[in-house]
Amino acid sequence: MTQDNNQKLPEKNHETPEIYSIRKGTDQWNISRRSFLKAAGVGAAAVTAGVHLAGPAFAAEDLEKLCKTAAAHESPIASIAVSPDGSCFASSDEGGTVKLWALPGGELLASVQTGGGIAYHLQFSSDSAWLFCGTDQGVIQKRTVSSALYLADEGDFGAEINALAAKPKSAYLAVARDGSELIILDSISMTWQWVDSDIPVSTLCFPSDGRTLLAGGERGKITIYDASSDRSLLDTLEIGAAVTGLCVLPGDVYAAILEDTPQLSLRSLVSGAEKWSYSLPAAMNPNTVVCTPDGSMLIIKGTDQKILFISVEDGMLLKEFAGGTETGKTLAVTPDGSTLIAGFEKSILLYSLPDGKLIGCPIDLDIMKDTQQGITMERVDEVTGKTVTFTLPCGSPIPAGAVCVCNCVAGSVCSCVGHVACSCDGYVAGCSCDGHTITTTYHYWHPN
Amino acid sequence: MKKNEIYVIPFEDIFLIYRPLLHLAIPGNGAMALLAMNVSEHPHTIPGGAEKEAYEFLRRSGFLRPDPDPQALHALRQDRTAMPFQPSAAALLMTNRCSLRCIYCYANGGAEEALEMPSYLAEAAIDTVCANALAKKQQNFQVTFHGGGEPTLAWDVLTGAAAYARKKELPAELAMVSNGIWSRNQLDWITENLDGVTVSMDGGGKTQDAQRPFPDGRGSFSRVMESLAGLDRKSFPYGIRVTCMPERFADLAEDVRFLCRETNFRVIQIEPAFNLERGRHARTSAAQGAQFAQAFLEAADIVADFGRQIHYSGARPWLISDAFCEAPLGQSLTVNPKGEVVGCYECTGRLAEIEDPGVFGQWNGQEFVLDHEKRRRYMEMIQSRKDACSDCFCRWHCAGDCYTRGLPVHDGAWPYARCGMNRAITKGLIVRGICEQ
Repeated sequence: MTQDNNQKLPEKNHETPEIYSIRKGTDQWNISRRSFLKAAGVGAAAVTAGVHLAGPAFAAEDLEKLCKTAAAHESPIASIAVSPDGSCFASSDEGGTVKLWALPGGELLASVQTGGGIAYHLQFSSDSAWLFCGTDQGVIQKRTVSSALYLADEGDFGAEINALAAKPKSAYLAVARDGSELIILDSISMTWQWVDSDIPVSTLCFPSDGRTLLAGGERGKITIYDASSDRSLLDTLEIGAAVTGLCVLPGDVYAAILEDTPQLSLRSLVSGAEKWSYSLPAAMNPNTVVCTPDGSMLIIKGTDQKILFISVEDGMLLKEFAGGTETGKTLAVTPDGSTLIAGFEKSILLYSLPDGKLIGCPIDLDIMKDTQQGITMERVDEVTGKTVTFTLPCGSPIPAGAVCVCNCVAGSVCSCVGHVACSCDGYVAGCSCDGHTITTTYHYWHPN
Repeated sequence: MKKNEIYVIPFEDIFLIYRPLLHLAIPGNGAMALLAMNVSEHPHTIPGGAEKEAYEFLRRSGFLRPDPDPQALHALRQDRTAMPFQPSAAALLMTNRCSLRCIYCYANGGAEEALEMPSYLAEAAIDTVCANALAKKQQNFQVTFHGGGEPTLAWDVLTGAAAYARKKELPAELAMVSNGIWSRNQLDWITENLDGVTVSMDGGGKTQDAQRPFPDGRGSFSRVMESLAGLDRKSFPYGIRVTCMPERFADLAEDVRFLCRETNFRVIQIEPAFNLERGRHARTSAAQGAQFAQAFLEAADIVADFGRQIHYSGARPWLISDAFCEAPLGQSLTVNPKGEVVGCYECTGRLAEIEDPGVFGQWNGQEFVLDHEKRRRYMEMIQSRKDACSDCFCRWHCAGDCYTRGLPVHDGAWPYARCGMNRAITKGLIVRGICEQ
């Protein structure tokens, strides 16, 4: 432990620990004391803070129980993708429905029945304007993000879509189709070109510079294509086992590779050398790996519905918990690295990062049964003044003083228990519990 | 067990409690700093009473996570210095001739016996780095045409080398650092044949003309602005390098505002120069260092308002590294017009009274031959100086600062006045990062 050599701290200090926010004023710094509780969480911190308030607050396990029974979809979640600009995320289910949700609050923006099969692969365009849905019947639909998932165009590729990836800062989409076929799709004209591929591709990934395309599949290797011009094969990384998941870390030097042996490894894309590998539980059958934007952590899931946090630095297990779906690519991290979005059966769970705490679960009130309840909670961003609305299962903890509007279903009555939890014991339309508005909490770490 | 690195940095009346290897900084009071240090060292000792909430905050914010192992990074770096010198990027110091007579020029460009890189030498360097990139299975290689003078004055060699690089087996990324004094044809060639360019330009007319005049004393401002306008018309990506002298520190903010307003640069790099005369470096005084830090941070706020990026080489809080510069580490084949392989862009081939420790290789007519023992000594010298940084919160960011400014000018003495400047700027950038959250 060291101190800045400009100044020593007093050895004994009788103060109470305090933390502060810093704002740049016109000609001075504005420093304000902050509440630990408000500052502790990330992103949707207000929700988390309630867990620790005195009084009849809900324990974390109760929140987990509530969230895992709250419905976001009527069928099991099939895929989740987050928009590159971080404003929303999309989810699909095995009943053929695709939904769009706002971030960070999780309000439902749109819900559509797609037709053309189950969208096991969702991919936003690099400019966040379009959502592409790749189905098990070989259809790729292009839907508008700003206009309630309106179907703008679609193409029939004749065989199940196995993977989608959007080339950064480009209109191109890479598509893996059943039968060892790789396609480069111009998402504006919806025209495509075939790329020679000698392996059945199950996972695709563009590095951030978009100059190459990595494809992994069953034959125990990753093929690297030139994505900038002629799409020729540049290199092959021999893996030795089927590749079930793939992501390139920030900096584009290392790739995290999920193998069905099962193991997770980190390899250099420059030398091909393995930096480390981590053996996964035999029953896990890992199928998804995502990387946090700061490159510090890998998050994986498998068919055993476990989610694992792995340190990029040394491949050590940081955290393990239940919360994923059996199938599908149902993990996504918001671009600011603050939130993990994970599918769990018919629910969508939001976890704060890097700590992995459950902080909320968006729900679709229209599909909730009479016995299920939900609330909407509002908070006001102290800088922008914008009101942000969270929708949570009824009973979710809220901070004291929050404006809580209970959207209880027929037959229930809402009440704000000590301004700590909103409950729906009966039903009164428009019930609300007004207190002081709470303000957005800022996290103090840099540069996340 | 390895201790986590935690620093307590005074800021206004509070402290920034800083974990550099985690990129975490928390503004807190003295009691919070003491608690953070205590629980960081004993993470399983959970305090009670009033400190319990604070402890929970630290735990949930990730502040109590163990550091990634910096020794592993260090060991990796040591391995790299022992590895074969196999750079896949070349920096070609084309000539010491120059069209300007910048008053702070470390190389005394344009005023000494002319040196120009012959074509065969440029092509040999390109062959070498391309072959290395192929051997390392890289997808491309890089060539930067650099200074010690103005590379466009070696025009035939420059254009020939660029064409030669484009014909190699791997794609080449070509860049140039230039003073921006170009003809219309040169501007067209640059935008059609290079991937990026950095233009040295110090600000508005008053500053640019005073610091970067032509040999006859005329100002260069209007000519360089014409070149930048040409780049903007073609939407060509470029950066600007600003050099700021103590007498202009007070004008830096307005100079930077002018460049933001009038040009479309993507990145601006600002470096101080304390030279009192051309051809040499001068020591940094603590007072001047503090003045530059203040001026830089003011400029950083302006650049941020315009949505552009700004850098100063000695303050990089976003970076964890144990090398200030990759040139001596085998990442770059830096060659001067005499065919010397050097560890710094400032080893331009000038006549020197003493042997330059940064010159550790030579073209022998067939290949670049390295003096591995001399390079090892050079690396050791850099490393030993950096050992003095163990208590500094910037040590993983500036990574010991610039070798060239530390070794010859300050006789290897370390830390020195630039350290205070680097710390002040790093701290300022951390605070601004906090404000953005």
